[in-house]
Parts: sequence; C-alpha cells; structure tokens
Amino acid sequence: MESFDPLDSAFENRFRLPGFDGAAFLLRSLTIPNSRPSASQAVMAFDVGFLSPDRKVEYLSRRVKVGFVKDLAECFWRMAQDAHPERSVPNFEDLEMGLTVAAVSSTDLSVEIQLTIVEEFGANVVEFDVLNFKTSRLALMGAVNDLKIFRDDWNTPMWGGEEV
Amino acid sequence: MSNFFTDLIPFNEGSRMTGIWCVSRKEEVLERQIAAVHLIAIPPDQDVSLEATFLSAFLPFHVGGFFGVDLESRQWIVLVQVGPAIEITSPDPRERPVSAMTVALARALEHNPNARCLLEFSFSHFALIDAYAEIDLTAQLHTWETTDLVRGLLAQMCGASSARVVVGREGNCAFPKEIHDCQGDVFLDVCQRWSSQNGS
Repeated sequence: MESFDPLDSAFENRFRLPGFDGAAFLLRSLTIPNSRPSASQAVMAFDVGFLSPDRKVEYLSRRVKVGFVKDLAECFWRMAQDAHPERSVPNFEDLEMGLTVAAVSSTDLSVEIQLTIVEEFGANVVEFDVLNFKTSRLALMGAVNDLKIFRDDWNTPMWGGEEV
Repeated sequence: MSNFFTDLIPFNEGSRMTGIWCVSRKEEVLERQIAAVHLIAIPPDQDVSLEATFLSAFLPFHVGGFFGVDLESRQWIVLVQVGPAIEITSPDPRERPVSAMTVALARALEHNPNARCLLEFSFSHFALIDAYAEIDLTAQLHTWETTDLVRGLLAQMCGASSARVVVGREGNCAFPKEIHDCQGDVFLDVCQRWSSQNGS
C-alpha cells in the first residue's frame, strides 16, 4: 500500500512579510468554531506572528473582521505605491484581531511600518505588542500578491468577506 | 573574471552579482575557526537584497556574502560564516566541524520556508590562505584572522586585487590616494565602492 501523509493535502495557508535585518509579520489561517450567534458554524481566524532576530511571538486563533484580507492587501498596495505613505495611507485597523498597521516613514525604495496588536483581550489593563521594521516596496508588492493565498481558503472568499 | 568564489560555485551561465556586503572587522579569536559557504536559492517573487539581510540577521557567525540573479531570473544568495570548528566526538556523520553554522542556517531558513540551501562548502583557516596562493604576499596572510581571509576573498568579487587588499589592510583603507568615503576598513571600502558604482 502506498504511504499516505494526510498533511500532504493540506493547502498552503501561510503569509510572510519580511523586513530588513530579520523582522517579519506572519499570518497563518485556520477555521475555528463560531462562538457567536450566527448562521455559520465556523469562521476563519488567523495566527499572527511577530518575528525579530531576538524573539518570535505568536497570537493564536485571532478572529478577523469581514474583508480583513482585502483591506490589508489594499493597505500594503498603497504603502508600496504612494510616494509618502506615512502621510497618505490611513492606518489599517482590525478591532476583531486587535491589529493596527501603519506606515511610519519611507524612502524611494523602502517603507518603515509599525504593527501593533492587543496582547490579551479582556485583560484589566490592555497592553500592546509592537513591531517596527523597515521593508522594501518590492516586498510590499509581493505581500499584496501573497495575501491571495487566503482567497479560496476552504471556499471562504475573504475578499468578499463571507464567512464559511 | 575568475576568482575564488566564481571558481568554487557552479553559477548558472550568465549569472550576475547584484549586491555584496561584509561585516566590520571582528575581534581576534584564538580557537580554531572554520569558514562555511552556503548557496541559497531565493524565489523570483522575493526581494533578494532584503532576504540577504533577513537571513543574515539569524546567523551569529556571518561575515558577509553576495547575491544575484541568472538569465532565467533565478535569484541566489551566497552566505559566508566563520565560526568555531566543532570537534568531532561521535561517529554520527551529521556531526561535522561546520555543524554550528549549518544548524544556524537551518534555523534561519525556517523563517523563509521558500528559500532553499543548494550547496555547502567549508574551509579551514589554512585552506583560505591557500586561496591567495597566486600572490607573493602570502606570508603576511598567516597573521590574519580567519574572518579577514574571508573578507579578502569577498573583496575579490568586487574586482579588487588580492595585492590591493593585502596592502590596504595595513592602512585600513583601500584607496589611500583617492578621495572617497573611507570606511576605515579595506574590505568595507571595496564593498562600498562596488555598491555605489552598481546602484546597490
């Protein structure tokens, strides 16, 4: 009998936006039970990773707003294209995930971005984890394309924002 | 132009270097050092110059490297590390003098799953001296740290002659008779000039 690894059939569901000098913003999609009143039994969620040379932190199973992937891609697109995204591109916010993405500064070839995430929902004192790094406009354009990996995730058109 | 790295690595025909870097001079260490050279394939949709700095950030022994692309847009990075040679204490073939740096690279590549290590080479301190064998200044090389031997070979990728590098190291300057943005280090001077002239 041929050997079969069920994980071989698992689709690619990881995203990575790297920065210079070892920083990266990471996403991995998964489906979780819908704990809220809704017609859907399950919703898409993400593991969010902040990477730098001296630490790697992951925030698991974060729910997202409708249209999360589409809006994030549009944010990255504008950061890559605009001459001064720190002035022209509104911050990306997803209150469900607790994530904010902002352009801090830019050059002709690079953009410095700041990602902020709520460490723990429901905590008495809300604390945030922050990751700042510089990335290239080329990498941001690549990220716009790479986010499409979540488009047909289990027939969930995140671009359209429908739940599973 | 033929030099140590182009003779060593079977680059695809038409490959060209688009960037190069090396670290500042490191403190001299007394323990036996070994150099590891790895050729990494980078997907065409990634920014190879960014990925070079990204991977290097996870390599505590990294000394420098260079990157480029071939005629079919296949991107590559050559990473060079210098670290302690591991003393072999077991018959396990996976344990090699260069293991410390191989493990570091494997760890770095976990953060870029689409990059692949294609080739690995390792060189002892004396093998690196032999790489300069074509010049009459070899006797001076025996006083160099292993990292400087590697940095000198990287400088050859920029078109700098071994003689210029060996002489320039004494004065910490590659271009003493020219107006330039001196880095205070012959190897950094050479890399910086190449990068300026090639828009890197």
